[in-house]
Amino acid sequence: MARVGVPEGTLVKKAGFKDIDWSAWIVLAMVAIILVLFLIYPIGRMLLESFVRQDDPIAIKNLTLYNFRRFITSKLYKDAMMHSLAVSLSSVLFATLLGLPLAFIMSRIDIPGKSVLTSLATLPLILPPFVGAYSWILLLGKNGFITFLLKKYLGIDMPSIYGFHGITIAQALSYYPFVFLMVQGSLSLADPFLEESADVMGAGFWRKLRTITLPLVAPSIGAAAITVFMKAIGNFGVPSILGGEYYVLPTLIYFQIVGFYNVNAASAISLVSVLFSIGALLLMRRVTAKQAAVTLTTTTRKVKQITNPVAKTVGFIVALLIILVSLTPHITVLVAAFSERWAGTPWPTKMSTANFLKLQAHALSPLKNSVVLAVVATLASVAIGSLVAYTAVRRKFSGRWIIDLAVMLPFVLPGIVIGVALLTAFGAPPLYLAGTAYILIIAYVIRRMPYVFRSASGALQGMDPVLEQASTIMGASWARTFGKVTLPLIAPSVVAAGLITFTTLIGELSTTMMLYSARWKTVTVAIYEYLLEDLLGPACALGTIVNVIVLVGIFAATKLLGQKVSNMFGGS
Amino acid sequence: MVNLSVRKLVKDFAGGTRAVDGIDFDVPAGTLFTLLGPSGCGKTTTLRMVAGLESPTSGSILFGNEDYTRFPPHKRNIGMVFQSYALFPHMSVFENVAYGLRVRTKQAEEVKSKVGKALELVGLSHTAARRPSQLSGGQQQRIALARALVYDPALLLLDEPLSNLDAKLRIQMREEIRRIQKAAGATTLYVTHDQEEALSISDVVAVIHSGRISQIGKPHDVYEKPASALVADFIGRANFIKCLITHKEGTGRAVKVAGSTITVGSCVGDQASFNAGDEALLFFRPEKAALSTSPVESKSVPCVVRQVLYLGESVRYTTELPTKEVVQLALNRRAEGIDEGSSANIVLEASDLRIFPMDQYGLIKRGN
Repeated sequence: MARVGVPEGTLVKKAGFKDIDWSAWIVLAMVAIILVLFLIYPIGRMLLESFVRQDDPIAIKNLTLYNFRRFITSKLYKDAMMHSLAVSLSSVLFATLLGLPLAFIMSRIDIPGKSVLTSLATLPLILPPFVGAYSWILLLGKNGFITFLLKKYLGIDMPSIYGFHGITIAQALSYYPFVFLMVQGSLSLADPFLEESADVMGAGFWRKLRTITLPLVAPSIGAAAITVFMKAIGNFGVPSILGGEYYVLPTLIYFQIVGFYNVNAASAISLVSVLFSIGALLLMRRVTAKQAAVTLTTTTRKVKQITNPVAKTVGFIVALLIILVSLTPHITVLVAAFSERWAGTPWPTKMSTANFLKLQAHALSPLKNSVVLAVVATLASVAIGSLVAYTAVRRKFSGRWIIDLAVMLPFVLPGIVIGVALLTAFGAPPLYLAGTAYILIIAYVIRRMPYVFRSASGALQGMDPVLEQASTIMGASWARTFGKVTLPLIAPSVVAAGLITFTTLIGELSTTMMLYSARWKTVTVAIYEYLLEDLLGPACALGTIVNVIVLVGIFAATKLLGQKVSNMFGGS
Repeated sequence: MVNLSVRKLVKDFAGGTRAVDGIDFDVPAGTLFTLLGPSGCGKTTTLRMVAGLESPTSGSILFGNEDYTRFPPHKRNIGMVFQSYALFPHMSVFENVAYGLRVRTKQAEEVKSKVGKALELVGLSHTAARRPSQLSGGQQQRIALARALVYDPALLLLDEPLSNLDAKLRIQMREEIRRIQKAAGATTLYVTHDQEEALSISDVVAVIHSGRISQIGKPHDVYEKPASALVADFIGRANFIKCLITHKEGTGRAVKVAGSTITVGSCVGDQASFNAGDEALLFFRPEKAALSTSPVESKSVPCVVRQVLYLGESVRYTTELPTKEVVQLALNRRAEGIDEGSSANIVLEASDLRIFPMDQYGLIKRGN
């Protein structure tokens, strides 16, 4: 730079080594290394592995479409793909059928206890879906209580709970809160004047619903449906318990790994599954882009509530029924946990804590493993997630797309796919980590860090950057500013995100199944093993413990943020 | 305390916008120097470059005889008051003020006594234990000032510090800021868009337009002897009338305005170049004119009064010249016998008049 107009003999204050604030660059480099090594590299590796045959090294001459061709040649593959689409689409359908009326009732009808009902309706989203799933065996299985009643009094033979029906029921009931929360959000945001003007013009209730209300919230319904689809197509826990011989893509991946340790085939299946997710995500982008134009309302007036007593009664009963049905599996797990004998009767014939006592033998060390892994992974997620958020929000640099990608990917990639990616990258030298605690922790961090990121970057965006500038001007280094000003101010959001991270990791099954070893068996794996041995009682007892940990964690997080549960999970 | 010198400072933002376009100025040690200009003129960008929060595209920033242009902000030893104060909401008033001292790793005793003195200086010793959110706007403002001054920075920067206060408090606080600044003897760079604030608080004012300095001067010079129609128009209220130079004698000029001849006193600087036969813009402040029922030789222009607004401390007359040009007058009392619709004469003193080139006519705003 030309030093124009500067008198001769002026000392140039050059920033010496100690004057430069290296801390920010060190953090930036660390973040970059973590993202590249543990996310970009494994996914890239998985991509390559899917194009070579098992046991072939990755090389140009070995490239082949063999693994993908099996989707045409193998009935197993073809079926799994069709099954995945079928159960995911039917889950979307039933989740919408449950979520939509509930959203309408909760936002438009003046029914009592809305706040409690909303929290209860959010529960299925919080509790690990596979824990609720196996209660369907108790209810609708061969010796299930409902199966028994239907047969005895109505003479109906229920189809097997294993397969399409079971998976659809369990997933729809777990994911319908997405539809409920997202649609309720936009229903309560919708401009009341639009409906009132339809009123004035003489439109009746049903016409109004059909021509004004539903079209206005259609983008939210679409977005919710796509969210459910992505969740369902990537879900491993439910089909692994209720699937039986009915393979879907995630269980097929598991089968390829556990049965043949064929990472190449697993990679290819993962890729196909991810393609569906990405397709759905692209669709969602288009849908939500439209939504932005619709929900913009300038009025602060609340939507008018229906106060007709008949509508209130019917609405309340319908809402309660939907919520009760969706909580049935979780209540069943709780009851089964405390029952010693329960087969074919409406109520357990003998209640005791025997199931919990049985856990002592096999479940204590998995419980400890889960807590240790979850704590370490949570701390790492919080540290990395908030630093990445800081980098993304506060720093201008050209590599931002890497962060955006790294943060978006785990939303698109099902847990089992991340498991496969890490196996391909670290299942062989030079970096052999398979079976260690490290690989589980890495997997957990990769999957959960984006949630901390979201929370922290939201808090950072709400925080005026002049606070940090003021600290810098007063002479504080970057590290001091981050520690004394930034961190304390975003702490509530970050801690809450950490609590949620911890609870979801305690209930994590899909990634763990791909990566665990006997030494690092987690509580969810222990539940899975109990189920394989048909030990439903202990499985329910352990599931109850998981649910309690999850609920306590979420409750603490909501208290910390002063927010309702429903606001933290997808409610707009 | 040091001198601040800014040399040929340029800042281009991404996308090619030139926010600051070659700015030069000097702030002598201990003085309060104000950058005044409309929003988007580049004054805040200049301040942020001095702070090190933005890096200049070219040019230099000197503290004393040291070039700090590329030096990191946290090592510059400056104090800054932000528009929104930027008090740390999670710290007490005491901890806020102590922050800069703790960064400089001062002894606990010293921190305590210095914070005490700083709070005393701004008259808020009793608020030490409170949180910023428990203070009023004016109090927060003073804490921000105490926080910026407590560690004796080489330079104090104030970025529109009064813009978040209501009108009455603003007047009170600008007196307070001037008092505290003089008591601390801090070399100060002050940024504002409020011309009254700038005139009242500053030792020297620099008027900035489109990234360039239009005029640097003492407040009364900038107001009474604006260097251009642009400055005259931005600071205070102004009348501009087209005129024709008819006669030149030394520094004096005679100009023809709407058929009347008027004397303009000592024309220096740019004005000195005007010769007989040139067209020009005649400028005067609304409060520098008088209204009379009878014409005054070489001093008056006839007009018709269109509107009279009584504002309490002044009376505002909107008049129209025979050329249909509108002239605003602000008199401190009602003119006897002159009402809406009356014909009258605008009386102008030679020393209150200035002339500017016609080509500046396009730059000024109309219709005030």
